[in-house]
Amino acid sequence: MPFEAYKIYQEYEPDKYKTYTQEKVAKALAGAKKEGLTPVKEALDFSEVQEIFGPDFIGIEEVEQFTGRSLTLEEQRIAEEKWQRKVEEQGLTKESLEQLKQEGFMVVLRVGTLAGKEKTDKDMPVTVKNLREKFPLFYDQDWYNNEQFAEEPLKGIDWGIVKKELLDESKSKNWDEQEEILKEWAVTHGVDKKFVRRRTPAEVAYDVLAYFQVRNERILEKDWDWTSVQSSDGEFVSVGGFGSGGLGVGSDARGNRGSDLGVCPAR
Amino acid sequence: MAKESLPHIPNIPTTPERVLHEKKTGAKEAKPLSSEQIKEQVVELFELSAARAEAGKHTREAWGGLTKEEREELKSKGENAVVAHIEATRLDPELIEFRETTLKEYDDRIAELSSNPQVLDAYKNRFEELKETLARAASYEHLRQEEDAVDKAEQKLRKLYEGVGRTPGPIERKKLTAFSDRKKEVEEELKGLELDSKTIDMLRRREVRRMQHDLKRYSFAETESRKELIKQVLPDLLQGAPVLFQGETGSGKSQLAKYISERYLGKIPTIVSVSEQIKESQIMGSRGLEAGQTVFNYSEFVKAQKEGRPVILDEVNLMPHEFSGLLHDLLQKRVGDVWVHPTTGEKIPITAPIMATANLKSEHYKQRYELDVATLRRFIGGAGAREIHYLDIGRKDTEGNPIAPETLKILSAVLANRHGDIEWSEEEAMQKVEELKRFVQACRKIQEDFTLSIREGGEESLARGDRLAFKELVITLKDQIEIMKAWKASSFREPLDSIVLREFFHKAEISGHASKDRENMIKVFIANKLFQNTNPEDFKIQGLSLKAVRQWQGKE
Repeated sequence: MPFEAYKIYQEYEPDKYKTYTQEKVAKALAGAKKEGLTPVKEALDFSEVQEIFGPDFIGIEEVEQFTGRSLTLEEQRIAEEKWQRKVEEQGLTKESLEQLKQEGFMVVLRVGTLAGKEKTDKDMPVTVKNLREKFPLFYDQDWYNNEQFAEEPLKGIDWGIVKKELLDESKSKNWDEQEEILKEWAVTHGVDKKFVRRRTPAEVAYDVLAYFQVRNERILEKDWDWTSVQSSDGEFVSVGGFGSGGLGVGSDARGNRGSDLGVCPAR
Repeated sequence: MAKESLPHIPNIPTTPERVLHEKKTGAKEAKPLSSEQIKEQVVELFELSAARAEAGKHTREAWGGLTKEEREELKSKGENAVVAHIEATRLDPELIEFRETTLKEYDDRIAELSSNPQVLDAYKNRFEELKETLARAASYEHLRQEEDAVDKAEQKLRKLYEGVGRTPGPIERKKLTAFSDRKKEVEEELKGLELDSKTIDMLRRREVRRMQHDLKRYSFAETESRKELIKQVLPDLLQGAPVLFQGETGSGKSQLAKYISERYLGKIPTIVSVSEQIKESQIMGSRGLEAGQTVFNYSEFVKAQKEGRPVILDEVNLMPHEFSGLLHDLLQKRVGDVWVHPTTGEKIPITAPIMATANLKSEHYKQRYELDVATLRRFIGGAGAREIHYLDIGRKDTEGNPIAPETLKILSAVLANRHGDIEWSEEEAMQKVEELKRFVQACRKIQEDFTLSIREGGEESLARGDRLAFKELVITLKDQIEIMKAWKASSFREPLDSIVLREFFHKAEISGHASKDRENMIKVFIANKLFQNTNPEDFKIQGLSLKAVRQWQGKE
């Protein structure tokens, strides 16, 4: 999809195509604010989501802390736009988010780059290898040093709504059975199945490490999230086992089953 | 907006239909596609149809402007005729072949996709939706244009009465009231319009397209500040009053005057480049001999007056004072007045204004500048002596951060294709936007420092605080546009800083001047995170300290 040229400058002319109704609403809101009234908000903005998810909300401030770099105004604008798009596309409401929180989901802002290890180092893309280089929190493994998935970067800024731990019913199921379980999960949660997916290895590593760095709490401590990405030998990569030994990266043939191998639905 | 009140958009065949018709291929039996596949193919078909328009235009250009029919007619005359045409018009045969084969490949793929009736129907449905959005957008634009036209007409009439110092009579008052009433009606209609996001998207794209058109045709695009300035001077200009645009070099004074003349006064102006050496004959004309008779040949300046074309006196500040007096009488004339030529005595009715440009008074150029007060006063008494600065100079957001919305708007139009899109993927867009903003920020800083330097004298002592002294060189909007064009031509594969290096620094090097200015520019660019890894030698600036560059880059 090409990029709309006007998006480069539209933030500077927000009122250019304001309609009469929008103007009336803006005036009414301004009037109410003056009188000390707080109107009921319809849109789900960050502060509300933060309120719902509490420590399970990893937003701009947390990501800046985790990645070691400040998000530019443009990145913040994109983050906001992406959140609104997600809300619209997936029909998210305050109620549905509250339910997700109850079910053990977190909301995480993912960005495409993180600061280098040293202050003088350049920013680097978020890949499994770069995360391993920056954070000495990985299990000592070298099998994936030359694997393509380890160098696959995150695709820029986006939000993930993801279950922190494995979906119980996905444990001890093979990869294809888990796919069916994800589809069923989508149906029961009233969301189009195209929005429910597995994470990539880089996403799992990012989410787990971000949560640990800013909340000092380990997720996927014993279990492994089976990702959508295959290693060079055709097995599907799993990430987890984030115990004291560090975050592990494994792979399993699609027919395998394990009581600690499941999937964390992501949307 | 009710559907029935929308303007009619005629039914014309869509690009895939036209391609199928030209290829004489109809719909074919095809295996049924899933809805996802149809959607994907429709998206591809839209992209191809959009790009095909460009490819068709490029093919015409490669053939020296020949339409398809004309090309076919030429080819039917045989190879010799084609070769003769190519040689006569100095065309590049390789480019012709490349353009033609590209267009053919577009047509082949469009025909392949649209020969599936499922895909073609889905495409046509989507096209119909777009037409409806277009109608809404056109309706909105039409009302805005009417609002503008009524406003201008009303202002023009009021100026007329101000000029003659008369109160409008009962009939004129009625006409003026009718304007005000219509304005209110249009405002009400506009208030009633509810724009949906698709219409707003289309309106914004059309705005980009208009800017592209204006940049191509007039080398000028109207941004908000320029629009406001035009609005202020236009009523007086329409009355024939003179205007003076004063500003820094490269701020677009002459281009603005030319634009107003062509766009709003509907006349191609005569441009008179003023210099210290200008002669009286270049202003008024000179005597000569023709077939043994003494004749008086009017200058281009007077000819323009006779033909009712505006005149642009470029750099009027350079005019020797003894000549500027010649203009005083003329500068006081308005439309409807008659000017008597001082030599021939010919009575010339005034129908168009005089526009003039001048470099802003500066310490650095003070020996070059001094427009005498009497002349200046005549401009002030006309449409004004207006200052024009580089776009966005001094603009800040609510938190005090410098911003450059108008420059970004123009550069976005340069970067976009004819549909208002820039060929950046979603993943790379954010990084490219950042890169572009940093570039614009650097240019703005250079322009600001240049402005201050020339006003106060471009001496080294001025380089105080974070301000740098620039004596001769500045990066203008035109330079930025050229850089954007080169970036776009590289399909954005080449990093922006390497384009800046090639298109600006290496070109500026040819002149061999202003090495200190160029060094300062590099410092500004590096501070804005461009040229982070550029080898100091690549700047090709004599005397540039490698150590200094490495320090600016944070490498030492």
